[in-house]
Amino acid sequence: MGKTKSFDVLKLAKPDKERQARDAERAPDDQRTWFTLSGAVLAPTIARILQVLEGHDQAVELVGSLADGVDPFEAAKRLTRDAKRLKAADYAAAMVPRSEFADGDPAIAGRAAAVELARAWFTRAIKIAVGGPVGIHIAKCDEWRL
Amino acid sequence: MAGWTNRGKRNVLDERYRATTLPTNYYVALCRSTTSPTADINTLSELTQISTSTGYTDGGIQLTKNSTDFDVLTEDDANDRALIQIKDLVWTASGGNLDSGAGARWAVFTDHNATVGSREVEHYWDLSSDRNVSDGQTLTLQDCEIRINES
Repeated sequence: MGKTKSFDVLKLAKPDKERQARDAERAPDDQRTWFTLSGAVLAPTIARILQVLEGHDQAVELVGSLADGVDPFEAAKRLTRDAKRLKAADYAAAMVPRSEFADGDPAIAGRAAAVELARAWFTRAIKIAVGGPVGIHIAKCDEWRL
Repeated sequence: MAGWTNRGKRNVLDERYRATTLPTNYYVALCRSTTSPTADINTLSELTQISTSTGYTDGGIQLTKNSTDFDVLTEDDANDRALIQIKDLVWTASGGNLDSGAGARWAVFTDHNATVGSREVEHYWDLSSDRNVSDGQTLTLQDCEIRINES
């Protein structure tokens, strides 16, 4: 799980050694696996959501394990449902860095919804791929900025 | 609408900067729409939980203070905030509808107190509509997030 031919969350996210070391120091018996998401991660995540919405693929990276006691398809169904509620213009705006929009631009709200959905999608996918608790560091960038 | 109660904000600051005793556990309870949580809510007794005889335990699901139950921690430098996510929470209706009334409208995060009604409400999430499930069906909450923003 966690990857398809074109969308491999473990390749898109970079291991975050600094935060991993800090976690090891602060909670040696209860560590997370830390990753950094650069601005470059957003576009492939949006593209992946659109690929699923267009019916080219199933959101297999969001399918969990039966062992969790939760319907393994719950997250895939929920996030796909959420994705369908957004407009094409929202996804198009999400492909453009926030700095390209003037404050007050009506497209900002839809863009923010798409960026937040992409974060939720990627977070769920990487949690499933790792199979345990994760830490996510979103780098300072205009791509992820709402 | 999701949010922090002012009691929750105070507790976090008090625990962090005065080293007061942390709750042994936390809980996520389900509440009806009878009273909507606001920042001013203090205890669970101010809200109305769903009924407890068909799959819902008084006080809700217990959370342990570890990375299993708080399974995603995010440090967001793009938006100057931090977020923590709670593991997936599942209630299964058994012997009837999960709630004898209209269902759960709110998920509510509380601290621990042996007296359930005295548990302090720290965060809440709007489930958008009354949620109820029939015998044998499940109600699942995913990606409940607690956020700290700069503004």
